[in-house]
Amino acid sequence: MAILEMKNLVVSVEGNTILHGINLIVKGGETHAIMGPNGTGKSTLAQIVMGHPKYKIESGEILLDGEVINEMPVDERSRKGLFLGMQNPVEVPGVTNFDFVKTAVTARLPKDKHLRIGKFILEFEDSAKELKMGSGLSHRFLNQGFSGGEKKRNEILQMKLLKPSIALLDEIDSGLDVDALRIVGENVTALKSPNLGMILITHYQRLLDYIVPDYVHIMIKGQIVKTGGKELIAKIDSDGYDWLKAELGIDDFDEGPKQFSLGTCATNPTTR
Amino acid sequence: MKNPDYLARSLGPIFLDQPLTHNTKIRLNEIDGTLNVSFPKTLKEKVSLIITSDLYLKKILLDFPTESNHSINLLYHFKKNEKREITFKLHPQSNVKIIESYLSIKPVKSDLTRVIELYHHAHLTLSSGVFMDGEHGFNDEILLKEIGARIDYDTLSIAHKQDSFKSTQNIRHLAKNTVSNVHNLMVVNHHAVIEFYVNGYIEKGMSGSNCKQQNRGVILSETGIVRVDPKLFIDEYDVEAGHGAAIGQINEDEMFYLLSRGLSESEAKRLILSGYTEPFVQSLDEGALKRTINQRIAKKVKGE
Repeated sequence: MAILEMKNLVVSVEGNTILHGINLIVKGGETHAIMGPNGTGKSTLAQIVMGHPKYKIESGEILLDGEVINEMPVDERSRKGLFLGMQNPVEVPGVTNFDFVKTAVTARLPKDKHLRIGKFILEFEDSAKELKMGSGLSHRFLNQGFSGGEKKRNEILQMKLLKPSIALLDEIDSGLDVDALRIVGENVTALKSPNLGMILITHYQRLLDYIVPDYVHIMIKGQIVKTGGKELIAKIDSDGYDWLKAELGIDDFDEGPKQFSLGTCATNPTTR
Repeated sequence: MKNPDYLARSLGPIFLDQPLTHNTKIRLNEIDGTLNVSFPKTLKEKVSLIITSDLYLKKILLDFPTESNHSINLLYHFKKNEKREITFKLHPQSNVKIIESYLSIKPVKSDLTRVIELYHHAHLTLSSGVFMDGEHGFNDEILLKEIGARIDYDTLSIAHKQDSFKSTQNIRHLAKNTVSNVHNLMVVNHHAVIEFYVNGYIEKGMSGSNCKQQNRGVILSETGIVRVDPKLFIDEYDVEAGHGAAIGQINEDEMFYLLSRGLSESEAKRLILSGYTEPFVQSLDEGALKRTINQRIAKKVKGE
């Protein structure tokens, strides 16, 4: 059973601290939802766990199965079982979806094993069908020309085929219509098992109607400020986050950059 | 005068893998180093022409008659330093597709001049893949000489280590309603340098002409250089023209996405670059050549 741990994690980007001491443990079989207002650091959390080079760990640790992975290369994290379903999957022209997933699955195999291509093709097609992705998907270039919903379904398709032990799904519900949301929700729920721990990052209750979390964490200003069960979801859906900010005494307004005057000859006292 | 059978037997310098018998006129003059190939109007199958450095060959002319229709594979295999001129002459209404591959067995120095003459409504689709090692100069004079002439010209150049490629492409619209579409893709690794000077000229009175240039450079190392200078010289109002260049390293987000799926950095680079190189490789019909080119690309990208 996989375990992902974050201990006092402080993360910055371009000199600005985004995460201020995150503590979280996710075990195989558990589903955690992370909710919170815009710009609060939820996606940063997902990206830093996966090892995006743009973000810097100032202090604290990320552990996967007890091993500190702060310095571990991105590809190695993936092969160790981490998966990030991205909010904005990039388009890679010229690389077919099938070739990409096949290469990724092959990269996970021990050196002395080869991919059984016939079996893999069937699995790819079955998974695409379950996600109602239509024919011709395998020959299309990776995410190029995909609708927002297709891109998100393609992320779940990859998750199904790569079989991670810890998956972070970053706003996998954005861009999905009602039917697509149901399909994605059902497919992700079908993947739930003691061998898979999940973190769902979302703004909205509707995804969590289909994928019921065991724990709900509220993140505000780079910190997990409250953890509870699914009852928190309904509360946020009806009342937003203001009650929580009030309860915890969180000020909504940042100081922002200090204002200063460029000055003019007319107002500069030294020239009068 | 050498007959095709002689050429086929000689293999080393020139090998025509199709039986270009009575319809194709080939004049090979080993004294002044010229090879003239006059094609018939049509041939049943695609022609592959392999040209190596074993023969003294200064000038090559491929001549396509009026209303001819051809698909040609050209492979230039350099074994030593060379200076050569190649001319493609497309007579009226001809429609020709040429795929060229440049290879060398070791770093060499070459200086190639290519003259392309296109007459009344002739259409040339030219794909050129440069995978040689060493120092190479390419000078293209593309002459759209008569009304309706058109060229669609794609190049793929991959350089590594100390390679230095310099290309000058002069595209001259010398008649009305002529069209040129030029797409250059450059990939450099290590200390290699690729330079492209792309000049489109539309003379006064050549209305209805269309001159487009697109250039893209991908730099795989810290010290590789891609230099592109696209220029348009337009002396006529009623035309369409555009040019651009985009040069940079592989997009960080693209890399992160592929790495996040477990691909190693070299595998991710290879896959992203295959998006650029595959259209050229797939256009080659011949399996062995395809494998050779793929191996060359892999070597250059990996830095072997």
